This record gives sequence, C-alpha cells and structure tokens, in this order.
Amino acid sequence: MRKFLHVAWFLFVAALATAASAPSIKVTVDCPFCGLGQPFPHDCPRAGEFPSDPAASDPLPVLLETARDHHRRLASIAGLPLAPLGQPRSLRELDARLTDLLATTRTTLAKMEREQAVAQTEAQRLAARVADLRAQIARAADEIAAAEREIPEQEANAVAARDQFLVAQKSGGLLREQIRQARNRLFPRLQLAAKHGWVLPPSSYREVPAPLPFLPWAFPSDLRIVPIPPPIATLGKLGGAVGLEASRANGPPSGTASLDSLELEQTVRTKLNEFAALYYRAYAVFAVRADAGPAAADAQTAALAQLESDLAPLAARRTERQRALAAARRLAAAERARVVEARQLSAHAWIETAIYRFLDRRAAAVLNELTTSAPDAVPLAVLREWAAAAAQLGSDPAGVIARLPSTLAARPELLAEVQREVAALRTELGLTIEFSAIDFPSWLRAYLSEASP
Amino acid sequence: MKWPQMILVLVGLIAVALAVRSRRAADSAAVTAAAPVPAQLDIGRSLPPSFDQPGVVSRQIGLMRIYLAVVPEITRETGSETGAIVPILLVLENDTYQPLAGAGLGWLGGQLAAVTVLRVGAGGRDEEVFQTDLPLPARADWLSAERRNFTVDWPLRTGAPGLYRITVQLALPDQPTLEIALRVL
Repeated sequence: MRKFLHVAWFLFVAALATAASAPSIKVTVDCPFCGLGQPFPHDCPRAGEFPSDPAASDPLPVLLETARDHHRRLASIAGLPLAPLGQPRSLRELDARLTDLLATTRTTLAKMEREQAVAQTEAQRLAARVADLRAQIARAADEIAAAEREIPEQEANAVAARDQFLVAQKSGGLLREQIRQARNRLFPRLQLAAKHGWVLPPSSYREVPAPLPFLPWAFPSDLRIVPIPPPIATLGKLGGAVGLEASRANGPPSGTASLDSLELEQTVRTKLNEFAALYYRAYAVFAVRADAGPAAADAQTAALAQLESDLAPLAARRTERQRALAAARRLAAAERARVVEARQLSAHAWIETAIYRFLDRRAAAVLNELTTSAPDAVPLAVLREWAAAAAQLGSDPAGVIARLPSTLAARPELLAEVQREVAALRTELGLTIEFSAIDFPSWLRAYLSEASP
Repeated sequence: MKWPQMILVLVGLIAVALAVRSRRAADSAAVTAAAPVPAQLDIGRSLPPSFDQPGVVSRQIGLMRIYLAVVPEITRETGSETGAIVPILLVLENDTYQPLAGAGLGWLGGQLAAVTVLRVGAGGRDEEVFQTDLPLPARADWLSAERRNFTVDWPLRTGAPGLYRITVQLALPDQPTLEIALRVL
C-alpha cells in the first residue's frame, strides 16, 4: 500500500509539470480597444480607430492652454496675489502646479473672506455704536431738559418748605414759652401743696422704671471665605485647532501617486474647472472689498468720533444737572421732613400747653379752696389727681397726651374744658400750623373739638 | 342782764352754732354729691426712701430719687459664639416740684456716675469685668419734677455663667452707691 502511494504521487507531479510547459494553453484578458475578453494579444479590428501618433493623443497642450486662460483671467483681478503658472512639461507637472495654485489661491481668498467677515462685523459694531451714541445724545438732551425744568421746581419747593418750617418753628417756640410759663405757675402751686403735705412727691405718681430688655447678638461665626473661581481657559487652543483644520482642508489631496494617465487627465480637468470657479469667488471678494473699502470705514469712524466728542460735554452736563437735581430733591425732601417734624412737635406742644393751662387753673381753684377753708378729703383727692397728671406730664408728655382722652372719657366736661383750652390757645397765639398736612393720630384728634379744624 | 336771761341767750347761741354747723355739713355733702371722686382716680402712693424689687433698686438721695434697673436673669448658650448687650438703666428724678441746680445737688465735676460690673467669685473674690463713667449732661439742672434716663450698654461676651454685681456710684460728695445683682445662666 505504501509503495502504491509513492507511485501515485510521482505520476501526479509529472502531469502538472507537463501541463505548465505546454504551448497550447492560451490566456484570456480584456482588450483595451474593443473591451471584449479576447486571447491576448489578438488582432483587434478597432485598433485602427485610435491614432498611433503620440503627439496627437497627448492632452497636455489643450489643458495647458485652458489653464493659461484661467490663470490670465484670475490674474486680471487687481490685488490678488497669484503665482505664475510656469511651463509644465507633463500632465503630472501641470497637475502639481494646479494643485499648488488652487491651494494658495484658496488660502488667500479664505483669508480675505475672513478679513471681510471681521470687517463687516466691525462695520456693524460701528454702526450699532453710532446708533447707540445718537440715542445717548438724544436721551442726554432730554434728561438735561427735564432736569433743568425740575430743578427750579424743587428749589421752589425747598424754599416754600423752609418758610413753612420757620412758621412751625416759630409756633413751636411760642408754645414752648407758654409751656414754660404754665409750668412756672403750676409747679410752685404744687410745691406749696407738697409743703402742706397735701400732695406726695412727684415720684409717687409715676411708674417705677422697668428694666430694658437685653439684646442678644451673634458673632459672625458663619463667615466663610468664598473661593476664587479658576481663571477662564483661553481660546488659543481652540483657535489653533480651527486653523489646523483649515490648513488640513486646504492641503494637497492625498493618494495621487497611483493615477494613470486618464485619471490624471480627469483630475487636471477637474482642477481646471475649480481654477475657473476661483475667478468668480475672487471677483466677489474683491468687489465687496472695493465697496466696503477704507473710505467707508473711515467715514464711519469719523462719524463715531464726532458723536463721541458731541456726547462727552453733554454727558458731563447731564451728570452735573442730575447731581444738582438730586441735591435739590434731597434738600426739598429734607425741608419737607423738617416741616413735618416741626409741625408734629408744635402740635404736641400745643396740646401740652393746653393741658398745663388746664391743670394750672384746676390746681389753682382747688388750692384756693383748700387754703381758704379747712382741708377736705374731696379737694385733696382732686388736687392729688392734678399733681399726678402734672408729674407724669413733666416726664412723659407724649404718654400723658395719649392717655388723657381715655382717662377723661368718663368726665366729658373736663375733656370739653381741655378742648376749649386748645381752641383758645390757637386763637390767642395766632397759630398758623397747617394741621391738615399732619398725619394726626386718632388720640390727638380727640383734643380738637368740633369747631376746631 | 339776769342769770336766766344770760342762760337763755347762751342756749340760743349754741343752737344757732349747731344749726350753722349742720348747714355746712349739709353743704359739704352736697358738694360731694355734685363732684364725686372718680373710681379710677390715681392719687399716688407714698414710696419708701429705698426699696428693692426684681430688676429695680431705688434710693432717695437728697431731693433726688434714683432708680437702677437691669434684667435680673439672662440665659445664654454656653460655649457658643453668642453674647448679649445688657442695658443698665439709671434713672435720676427730681422728686420735688421746684427746679434743682446740678451744682446745688453736689455735681461739681464733669462726671455723673461710675458704673462697675463685678463677677462674684466662688471664694468671695470679685472680679471686675466692666467699668465705665457716665458724664454729666450738658444741662446739669433738673426742671421741676423732671425725670431723666441714662443707659449704659454692657457687652456681655466673654462672661462665664454666674452671679454679677452691678454697682453705680454717683459722683456726689458722699458718693452714694446703688447695687443690683444679675444672674447669667
């Protein structure tokens, strides 16, 4: 069996060697002229359709002439930097030259377009700034006019308020003098009564002071230091990446090493078309550049400078006018506040004077009764009541003025007497306080009788 | 005139006097009925020369009535960074119906009073924790029955819980002193 296998292997190898060396074996390939699968070489009937002259079949002259036409048109655009086409001697050299020209021209145009975009943005910014400045100038003029209208009004208000304050202060001074005189009459009477033992010392009629509440406070223990945020990353890397991408996009195409002549010709024709299209792109770029040239930018900048120089004095004047207006408003408000305060003080003094006069008259009557006849329990009690009112009025006038109407509510004849005193005091002193302008508390109104304002 | 006539005249006079007296009593009753004493009449109460009550101490010094008022107790969080402003209220009152001059009362310098806060120690040793002087006001005279308030703010920040004594020494010739206690819990 092993011997049989050796014989079979020998016969198989011998058959293979014979088949490989036999001349009758034919290889079938596609013919480049007719395109049919034919034994190669074969006598192709369409072989005569193709010129056998290498000069007639070379597309280089035609393509070169086309390239020169396109180059001349592109070079006719003034200002566009364009390298010469040179004298390429082969299609491959023309392709390389066109590739270089396309790349450099595209880069130049892309740079110009970017510059134009920047210039356009700048022009828009300038235009917006011009519009903004014009609006600011108009607004400043309006504000200056408004301020100049209001300043005299506020100054007049302040002057009027000052006059009113002087009137109220004068009334207050008159009333203070009346209070002093009433006290100088009333307290000697009470001192006399105290000597007789008819009234107690003033402290007996007053509340014992209460402790003031303590004020808890917290130290700022929760004070925290706010960390400083990290600096914002610069955009340099991003810009570099964009630039790199752009250079890559405009770079030479790869994979040109294995082009055959037809593919190379097709590539050259495509690049020539792109070269022709570049003319229109360059023409558009330079046309826009001519329209938005430095003259337009200069005019815009000049207008902007003029507007800024116009705005500067207006802004300064507006600031000065607004400062003057704010000062006038503050002055008028302060004068009004002084008037309100002086009127309130005068109103309190008015009521206080009336109460002192009322107490003085009542105490005088009771003392007269006590000194002309034997002391009796009823007038003594009444005298102590007036002494208590006087002692409390001396230390807490606002509290007494607030409480007295409710205290006298059960004795309307006494409240009516106080009201009459209030009205008489106004007539006597010729008080010109505009009480309608005061925000009277209700208890203060209780002192004004129906006949009073 | 004979004795019987004199006796008759005397009896008549006595009768007239009794009649007049009864008439006056009737008039007084009529006045009382016409002007009844109101029920809520505040006729005062006589204060003792000195008294203490929670949070308030009062002394009569000459013609002046002095009050010292402080909250009797303060609760604060131990160990925390908190504190309190404790107002020490000093009230000086002219307890007469006539004006008083400051110099007449004895205030000759520029000082009204000295306020001192002492922390009462465990062994009886007091530790001074706060001291200040109150200046005499620009108007040193007291009007009739005038009452004036003076407030000293004691910043209680580092004080430990315990008992504190607040002393006010008036700048008068005999240097009268008022004292009040405050407990910090």
